[in-house]
Amino acid sequence: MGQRYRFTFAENGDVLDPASWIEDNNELASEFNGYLDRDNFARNDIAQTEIVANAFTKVEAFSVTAAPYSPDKSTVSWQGGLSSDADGIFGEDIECDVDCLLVCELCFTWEWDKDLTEYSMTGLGPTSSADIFISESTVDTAQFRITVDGVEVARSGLFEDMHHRYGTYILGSTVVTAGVHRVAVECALMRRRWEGLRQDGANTYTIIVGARNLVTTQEKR
Amino acid sequence: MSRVTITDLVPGEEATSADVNATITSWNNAAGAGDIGPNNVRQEGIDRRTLSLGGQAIQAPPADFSDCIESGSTATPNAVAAAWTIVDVGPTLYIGPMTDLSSSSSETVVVRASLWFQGAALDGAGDPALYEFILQSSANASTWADYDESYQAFQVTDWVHLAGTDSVSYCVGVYTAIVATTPAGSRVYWRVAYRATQTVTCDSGTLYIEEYAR
Repeated sequence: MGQRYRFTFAENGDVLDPASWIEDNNELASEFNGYLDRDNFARNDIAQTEIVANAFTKVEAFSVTAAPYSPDKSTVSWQGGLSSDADGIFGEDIECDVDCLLVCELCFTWEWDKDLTEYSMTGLGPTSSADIFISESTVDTAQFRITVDGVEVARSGLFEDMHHRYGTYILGSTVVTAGVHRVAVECALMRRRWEGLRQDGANTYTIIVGARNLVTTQEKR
Repeated sequence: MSRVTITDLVPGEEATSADVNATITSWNNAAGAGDIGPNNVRQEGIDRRTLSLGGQAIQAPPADFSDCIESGSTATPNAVAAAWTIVDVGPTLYIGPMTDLSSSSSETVVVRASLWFQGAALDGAGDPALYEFILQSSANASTWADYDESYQAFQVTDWVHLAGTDSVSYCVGVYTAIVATTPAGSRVYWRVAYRATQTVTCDSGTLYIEEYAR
């Protein structure tokens, strides 16, 4: 708070009173030593260069372009949350200096690891505009999620292997405390029945995760 | 340290120059240029009123933000066997300048783009149709560089057929995001580009840029 000082001014010929001198200085010092605030600064006075970097927001990006990752198709568990490019999609440690909202965005492209000729659907079209003919009762699926310290904050829908390539974007956010937090991106492969999407064993095919980008934003103030 | 230490004078005793000078020196050390810091400002004593809006202290959308929202239609057929050509999605999307600061610091810029498109199906013959999208940046709006990590691809099989119809449009949405930093004072242009093996029609798209200065 500003403008609260009581000054004792010395006149010509006075003997300086130490008590007044000390009081004047202490008033100023007590304000200066930790109590300057919005009353001391002018409106619109603090510019960008006077604010420490990342004081309000910290954005980090983790990108992989040349290290495809293929998960194990024999398991239906979540996998791939590792930082090594070839061994996972993403697994990154985010250091937060204060409590904040952590926003995680993921965009990536991926494809089924199967030959293009296996997608030929000639002759499998529907017999009427109301029908779509499906030749099998089960389908390979892939699903993705973002976790923070093992807690899921975002999960994609199920992607089936009827199309070869996909571009996918998912976003999740959570409040985190100050400290280091693990942001991981995982996938789960599972063969499912069309009816009810119930699990029906392991996938026939795996996937190949290509170019991918994870953006984390710490929103502090 | 930027705290002030007062050296007390004792009533009834002769003040020494050392005591007086110690206090003055402490003030000088604490209040010198660049010395005022966290020891001086009250916890949560600064609010938005004190922050300069003109200096983009926190973050600011570009002034010409409305220019980044495009709608319209562009159809660009590319033969399957032909070399792929990067084609603009509508008019060039751009913002800038990102900042007018004279310092050498860089700003963190988050670029997000979304669009939807439809492509003609293949009538069940040949390889699936492939559609690819990518973000590009340029310093002069003439020479463009890819941001590879923004690469998004869709390869659509042709299993959605309507009876008696040779081809049918397939619609899908795309959303991608990327982080990039730009040098202070520079003007950076952004756009979304695509290439495809089938005719593509992009009916709307949004390019959104946020600048995180602090």
